[in-house]
Amino acid sequence: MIQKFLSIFKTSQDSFEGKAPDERVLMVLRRHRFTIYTKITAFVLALLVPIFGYLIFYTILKTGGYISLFVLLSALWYLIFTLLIFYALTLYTLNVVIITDKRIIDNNQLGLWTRKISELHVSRIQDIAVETKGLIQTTLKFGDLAIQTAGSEKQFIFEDIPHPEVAKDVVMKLLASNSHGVRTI
Amino acid sequence: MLQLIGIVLTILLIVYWVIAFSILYHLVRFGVGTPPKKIALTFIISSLVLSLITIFIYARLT
Repeated sequence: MIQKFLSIFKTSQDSFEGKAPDERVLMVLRRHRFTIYTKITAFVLALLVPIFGYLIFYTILKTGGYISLFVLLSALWYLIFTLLIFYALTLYTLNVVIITDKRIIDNNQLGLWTRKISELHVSRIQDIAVETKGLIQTTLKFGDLAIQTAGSEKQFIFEDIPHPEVAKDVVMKLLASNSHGVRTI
Repeated sequence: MLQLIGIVLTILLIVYWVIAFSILYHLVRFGVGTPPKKIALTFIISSLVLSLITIFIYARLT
């Protein structure tokens, strides 16, 4: 039973809400880790504030007998910033692009209670483009994947995808298999 | 004074855990793949540890 519980952290069927029984998940894409590292860096630096505060105001805290109170306030400070860090991580983790053999689903978590889910069927894909902008994106190999469609929403742009050319190749193979009726993936 | 700190601390902890459970619910319900589950486990363990430390520090204060 313990092994079964631990297995959810090692393997996953990549299931999602609305997945058809015969649908295969080909790729699950999230934004490059660089985007979340930059966001949580400020929060992580804020975790150092109580330490510096203690070092700077040690004499005043000791003479006034406020050390215990300061430690309590520091604990609350860490609690709040842990919440903020994990809130940012939650939004990052829940923002996914799922490529299946039938469609592409863009799950945009805008806030804790705000989500936007866009679905794009493979048959409506007309054009795919990859864009890598600047030194950081080129060095870390991430960029935007733009898909032109025949639907009401003309263009889907998936931003900051790691190795967007790999995702592009998967979508191209998907298009080829869809048009020929032969599964190549 | 300590009673007031206790009341404020209780309210903060209640609000914290309401938000924490919202985050955990979203990670477990809507997460795809293993990263959300790992984050959820790390979050609940760290939240429990930090909450217990905070309560312990307050108990020592009183």
